Amino acid sequence: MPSSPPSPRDPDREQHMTDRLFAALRPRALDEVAEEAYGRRRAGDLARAFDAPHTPSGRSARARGRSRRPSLILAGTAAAGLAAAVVLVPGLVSDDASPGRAPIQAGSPSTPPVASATPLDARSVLLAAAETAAREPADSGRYWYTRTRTDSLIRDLPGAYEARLDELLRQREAAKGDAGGDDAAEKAAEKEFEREVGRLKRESARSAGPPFAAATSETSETWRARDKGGTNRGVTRPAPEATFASAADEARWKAMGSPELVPDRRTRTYEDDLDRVLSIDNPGLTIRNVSKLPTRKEALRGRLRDMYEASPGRRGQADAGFAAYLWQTGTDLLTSPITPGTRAALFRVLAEQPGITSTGRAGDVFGREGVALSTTTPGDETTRGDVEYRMILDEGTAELLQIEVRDERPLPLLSQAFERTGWVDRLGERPAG
Amino acid sequence: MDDPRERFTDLYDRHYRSVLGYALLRAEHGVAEDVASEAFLIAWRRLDEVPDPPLPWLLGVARNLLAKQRDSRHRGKALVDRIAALTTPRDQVDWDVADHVVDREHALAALARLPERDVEAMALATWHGLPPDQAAAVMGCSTRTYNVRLHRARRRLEKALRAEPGAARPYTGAVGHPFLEEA
Repeated sequence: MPSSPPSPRDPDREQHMTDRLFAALRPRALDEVAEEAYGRRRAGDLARAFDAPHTPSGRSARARGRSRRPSLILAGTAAAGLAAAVVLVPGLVSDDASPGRAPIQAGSPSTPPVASATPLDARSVLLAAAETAAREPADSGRYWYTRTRTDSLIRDLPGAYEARLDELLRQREAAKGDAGGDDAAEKAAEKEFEREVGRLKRESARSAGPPFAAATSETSETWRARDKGGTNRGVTRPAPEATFASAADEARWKAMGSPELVPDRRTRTYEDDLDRVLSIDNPGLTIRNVSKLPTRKEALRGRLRDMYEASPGRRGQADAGFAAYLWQTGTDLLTSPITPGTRAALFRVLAEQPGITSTGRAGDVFGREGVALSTTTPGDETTRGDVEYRMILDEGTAELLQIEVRDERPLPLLSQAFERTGWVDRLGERPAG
Repeated sequence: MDDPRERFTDLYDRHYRSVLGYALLRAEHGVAEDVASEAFLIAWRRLDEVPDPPLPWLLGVARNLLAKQRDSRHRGKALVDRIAALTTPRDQVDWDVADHVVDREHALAALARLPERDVEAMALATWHGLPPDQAAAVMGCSTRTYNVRLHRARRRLEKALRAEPGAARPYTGAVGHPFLEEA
């Protein structure tokens, strides 16, 4: 500032005033509006870009020939018309317009509806998740905390199998009593019993299940000690009541005399210092070495292959088993303390998998929304039709929200919602936020 | 890192808000968001052509997209309408505290009378903080032409401000305006 009062017509002073006044006309809300839109559109914009062909440069692109997909934007036109652009940028189909989080759409309310809205493909979603995951800070603590809600379809009335087995046992004892020491008769009774138990087991596996669709639910919290020999804790609380797929299902249950569906409502707690497995298929993975998994796609894929070959669950399975293995192991890893680099690499490995499709937006049991990716495998005699494995990813944070295993029944056979994961420093403590 | 996806994500994380901020002052909210997203999609497709610094290039792409969009009848008033749409009570409070020489509405009215190119030249300098060569790249003209526009824009705005009936407070510099020295 000049020490003497400026003259009213000082041109520099006047220009400064004009600029300052102009600058002050910029609305303050602009930054907040931009920030909000950034958070809301980022994942969709990244995924849409990665879904589009990327041209390295004009010359080399021509040298390499055409891209795999037709290039929809006219070559060399930065000024591609917006009307055309809207058609070129398909949005996610939003089938759930619940409030709280705006669905990703290419067309916002102000623009004409997008005619060709199709779901983003799974690959693009996973590649965008990889980019997001790679930017998360690495964290650490003394205990890895997880809070998981597990919903399981009721496939048999609790106790029904045991009751029938008890009945067969009673019949056997009665038959043996009738035999009165006759060896042949006793052997026949034993054979009959074994045959009946075999039939019961097969029936149970193939069981059409109860005439209603309902699921039990429980919430588990686990604290896994990072240090070897540290104390682990697990607390599992069953929900006191089952949930029914519909009112009609509940009515059918009542018509049966409302049989007990949650036989044990007690909270189960364990504390031990065992090296608990993180992943059933991968007994070699521990809370300590899981953070040392490769952070590059090729290296991680190779390691997963090796772990698959060594997997105890693999026994005699065909190569197609790798897809199912990857799905389950991927789930285990995404809820484990792997590094941001490994997370990113894992999403890239998953993005290469054939047969994973994006089925649009979906909510988890807590009402959190994300993108659902799924893969389908043929069912067996215990399922109704094919089995669909589904994961719901929060595309904003690249977090795994929920996994589901479904067949043709109205409720998933199994769903697990990962409510909270993170490092804490004390047993019983939960991550902040 | 040479991975194009990583480069693009960086580009997006650094500049999306600036590009949207630019578009928001030129188009209605939904259109502005689509323009920003489309500008980045074009950046992805032509990633190797994006110069350094990338922001002027991105704003230039957004500007072209907006030009196709724009209803030409609205030209002069568009920016002022957008500012009005985004104005909150806090802006008025800020304005009053800063003790400007004219009321906010009168400043907006003066702005509305300027040719759009003049306003844009000033906006790129004062709102986006672009040096003349970068601002010129956005507007698709030479640096010299841009400097001429900017100079003319300032003169016109000063004139328009003086002519505003609401410019009741005479231009007295710092005298009698204690806040001015601190602002």
